[in-house]
Amino acid sequence: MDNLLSIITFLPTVAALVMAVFLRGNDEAAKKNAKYVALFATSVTFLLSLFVIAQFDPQDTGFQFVENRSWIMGLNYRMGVDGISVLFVMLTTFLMPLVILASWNVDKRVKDYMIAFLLLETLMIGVFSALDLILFYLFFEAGLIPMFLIIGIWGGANRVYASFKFFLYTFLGSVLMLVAIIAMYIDAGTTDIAALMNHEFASGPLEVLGISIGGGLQGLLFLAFFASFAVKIPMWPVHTWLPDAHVQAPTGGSVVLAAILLKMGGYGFLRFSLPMFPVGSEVFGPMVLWLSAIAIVYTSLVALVQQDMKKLIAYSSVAHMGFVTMGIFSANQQGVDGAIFQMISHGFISGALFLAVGVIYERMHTREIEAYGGLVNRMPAYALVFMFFTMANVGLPGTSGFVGEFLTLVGIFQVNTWVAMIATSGVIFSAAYALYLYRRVVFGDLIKESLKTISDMTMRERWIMAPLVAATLILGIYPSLVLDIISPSVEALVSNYAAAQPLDVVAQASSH
Amino acid sequence: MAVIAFYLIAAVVLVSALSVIMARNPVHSVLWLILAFFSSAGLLVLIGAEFLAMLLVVVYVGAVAVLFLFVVMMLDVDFVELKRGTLRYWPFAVLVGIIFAAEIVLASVIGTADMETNFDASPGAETNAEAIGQVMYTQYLLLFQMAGIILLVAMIGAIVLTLRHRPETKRQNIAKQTSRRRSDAYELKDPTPGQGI
Amino acid sequence: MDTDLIAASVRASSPEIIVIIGACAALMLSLWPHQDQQKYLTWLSLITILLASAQTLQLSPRPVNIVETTYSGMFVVDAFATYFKMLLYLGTALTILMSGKFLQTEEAVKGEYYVLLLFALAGTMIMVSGADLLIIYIGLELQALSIYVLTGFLKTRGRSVEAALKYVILGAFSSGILLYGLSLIYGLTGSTQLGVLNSALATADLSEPMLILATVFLLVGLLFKIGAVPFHMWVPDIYEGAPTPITAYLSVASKTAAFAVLLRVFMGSLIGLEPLWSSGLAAIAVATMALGSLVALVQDNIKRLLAYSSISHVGFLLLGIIAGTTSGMSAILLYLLIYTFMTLGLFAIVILLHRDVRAGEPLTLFSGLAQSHAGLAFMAMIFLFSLAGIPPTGGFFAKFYVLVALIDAGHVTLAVIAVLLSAVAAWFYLRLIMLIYIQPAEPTTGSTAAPATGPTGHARAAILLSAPMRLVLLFSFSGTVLSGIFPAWFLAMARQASLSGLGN
Repeated sequence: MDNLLSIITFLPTVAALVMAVFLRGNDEAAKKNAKYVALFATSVTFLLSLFVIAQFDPQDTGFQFVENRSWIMGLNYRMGVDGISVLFVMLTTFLMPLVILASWNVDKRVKDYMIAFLLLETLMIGVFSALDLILFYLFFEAGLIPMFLIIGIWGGANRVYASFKFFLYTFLGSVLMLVAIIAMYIDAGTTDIAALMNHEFASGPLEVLGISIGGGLQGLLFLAFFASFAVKIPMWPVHTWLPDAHVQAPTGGSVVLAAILLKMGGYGFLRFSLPMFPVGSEVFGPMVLWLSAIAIVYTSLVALVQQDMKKLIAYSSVAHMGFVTMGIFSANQQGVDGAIFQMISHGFISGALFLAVGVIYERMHTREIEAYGGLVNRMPAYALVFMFFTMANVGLPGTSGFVGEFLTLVGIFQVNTWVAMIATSGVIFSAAYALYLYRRVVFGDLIKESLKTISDMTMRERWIMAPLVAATLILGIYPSLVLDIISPSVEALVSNYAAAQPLDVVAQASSH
Repeated sequence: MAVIAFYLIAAVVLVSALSVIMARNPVHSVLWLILAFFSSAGLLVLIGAEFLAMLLVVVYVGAVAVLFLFVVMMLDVDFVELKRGTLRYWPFAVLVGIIFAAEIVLASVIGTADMETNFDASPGAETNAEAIGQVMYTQYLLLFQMAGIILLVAMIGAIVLTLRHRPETKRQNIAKQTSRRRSDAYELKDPTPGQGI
Repeated sequence: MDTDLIAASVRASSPEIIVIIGACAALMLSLWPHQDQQKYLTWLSLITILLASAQTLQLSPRPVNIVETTYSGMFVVDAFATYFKMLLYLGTALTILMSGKFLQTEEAVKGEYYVLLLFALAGTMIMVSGADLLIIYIGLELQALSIYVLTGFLKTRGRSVEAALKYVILGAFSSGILLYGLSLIYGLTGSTQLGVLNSALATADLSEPMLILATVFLLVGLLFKIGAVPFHMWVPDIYEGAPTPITAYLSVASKTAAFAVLLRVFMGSLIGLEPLWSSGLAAIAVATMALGSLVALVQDNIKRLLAYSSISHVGFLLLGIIAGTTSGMSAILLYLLIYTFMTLGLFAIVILLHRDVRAGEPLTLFSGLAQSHAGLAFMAMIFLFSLAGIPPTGGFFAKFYVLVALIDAGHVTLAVIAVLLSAVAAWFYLRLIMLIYIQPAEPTTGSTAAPATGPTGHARAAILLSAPMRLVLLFSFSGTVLSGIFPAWFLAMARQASLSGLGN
């Protein structure tokens, strides 16, 4: 089918426009209509995206479903997916209906809430399928607007601070990326991503303001893009916006933020930094690896002392994304495969964890760990689901979390054993804080008065969790489902990367 | 001969200019200013620009200086109070003035620019006015018209900014009076007997 | 001049003549004591502008590279002038539409308002069509004089009068400097015609002190007019005190005309002097952006904040001049168009929210707008995001093309500084958006009775969305959004215009 990607991308926007124009009033009927329209739109989008995955040929390492239209002089509207991005599109369309379902109890300005999420879905799918540099930047930046509003309007008590922090941090990094994009456009004469992947940017030594940049122009461009993606992922030390944003955002917002928005950073590294700036990536790779290692250990330790459940899970997200960046910059088949797998699985797992927190938050309106304890006595189903995802978060074999972590560790082991050892210790830390959280919230005796009447998960909540449980389990037992799709593209990426290295660097790398 | 006239008139200009700022009575300041204008007009006549000299007298003395005189005499400004303390700033003012003058002198002396120092005030015509007329209505037509428009705008602006209708003063509105219709003046009422209007 | 030449000249300047005749007709009309006088005057002004724009389009040269010089070299009609005139028509027309209700609220309805606006338009049109430094100066003065009066139009409000006084002094001072530079150029080259200056200065010795002095004076005079640092001193005060539609006009049309002059003179004729002013201008551009962005962070009056925001935009535009060449100039032209749309739109919303001038225009005017008027709030949000330069609005592409021109010319450090300062500036735009969407409406102070419209409490009861205001919002909103999604069309026009602008 032609234009399938554009349809998937812009269908939520069409639904949002329909809602904006035709849905009026603030009464119960209007709110219900808003929710149902949004649910319908996201579900249809998901069904359409199944066509994409069905017709996707994993062996073809190029871009598929490509659409190409002339837009502005020199810039084209190009959309397409390859093995790396198609699963992110699927992740987005899969999770959005669940997010809408999770937001069923939103009461304040429901129509605007749904419109914001629908627009956000469009922009997220656009980021993953854009094949033109400016188009990518447009979707990337524009995604800040709905998220800013979601956190700022429907968030918690300190939402203004959190939304500002989120916006300004990300914006600051992204404007540097804009300068790099323009420099690339001028150097290569095109903004077509496929063509840029083949273009060789200068990598001879370059002097800027007296400082010699290793990797030359590639190094500079890598740093500019790194500024943007490092904030997005987030990496230590520019991760401080994430805990605030997660804590203050509404449940649906947190899920989208953790599950999809963070992956844009990782996707950026895979789509831009590795293929287009291979020498730059090689030069600055060790820096990224060490930052990832620090991130894993530091944020895990910080997570141990958290009092707020969402903040704990937020820090855990940073730690897991540390594995992802480690995997990406190990630049070998297992590492990158593991990184992408980790991103997909983390999407499910942290999404489910935030949804789980949302379940009890809706009942008790507090996220303090102190306020809970002994929930297993009244909420057995919830305890089961929560346990499952806690184990998945730790990386228990049988869940998808294990596959991702294992592959990235194998990958990094081949490149830098010190970082690998530090990262492995991170696995232990993640077990520590995850089980600690679970123990304090779910196990134990039900002593607190306020919890004595808490009810178990409703049908709606079970329906939200079920697909996530299924996905995590299936991917954990049968990871080939994902690995088969991504491996050929990753293989092409890795071999192009290795081939682009100048010979002395290759000699250095193989001496580890 | 012309040189003596030049130095004489220039001296008068300088003295009267200084007196403008140093005079204690504001009306005296304006009168010194008028003298400065007249003397500058004289300088202009000396270099053969008699049209410009007359223009200077008509515009500056006839309009601007008279305006100054009006304002000075109408406003009850206590110039003594206003000028109190200005003596403190004299050194600074003199310094700034010296810097300005030095800059211009330096720029014009050091520069090797080929600047015109001799020019014909009435090229191709007998009088200044004719010379100016020959170019103003042909080559600089647009400038002339636009300058006129600027004057129009200035007039409109002055009136807009200062005209106030006092609400207390009674005035006749002739248009309203003459456009009065019979229906505005009175109406016929048909009261029932014993009821009144 | 013989009759043929005069006829050609009159025909070339027919848009200006139409506008001036319209202004005089409005002057006549303003004497007629009819109760609907304001409505008729608005119609008359708009029809005048429409006729003038039709005539301008008809006169625009086809093919595009033909330049017609009339009035013995004073007046030129080329694609550059046509583009700017259309921009000025847009700005003035939207200002006239915005003024109706505002004047009624302020009880300052006077016919001369429209007269003076039309004369200001005529002045700006002469400025952008001028091919001689003298006529540019005259046009500048005509425009400035009209705006001086309009700034002080609210005679009974102290701030308005103060703003007018400051503007007069500032304007007179800067015009004097400009004229001095102009006369020095005349002394050095023997001509004030832009076409002649280019060749006359081609062989000039660039270290000649008089030449440096002349360039500096000319540049400084023009920088005063656009409000660049460090010549921006009174700009916030003027913007704050002037009646809000006039602030909008100042912020948009006056700047556009001044930039047209700056571009034609400095990138066209005096391009040979570029080594003299390029590094100084770069420093000024950075300082302007920095000051505009940073000081705006602490403002709490909307008009002052918008004044500083326009200062920071001016800094960005100056970078386009530094980038030079066709791409730099076309980027500036596109930026000015998009800037017109978004600034006028935002000012329209400020006027709609304006209740009582005694309460000033505090930022809290925007509070809770989303609750009461969702459509207006959404439009305000788009305008603010556009001003911050966030895709997919027009403001992003405006900045984007300037950056492309800048990096193409090799000034990468300047580009990095520019984007970082834009990120800083985003903060105060976000603050306004937050006020619109997140904070509740300001509670009415005063009695516990029904919502009072007393001097201190502003009940968010009715925002009078009159038909003219709807038109203004429609134009600016669609302009902002369309230039964000389809900038190609606007860019093509700007590119054509810049080609002839550099040809001088």
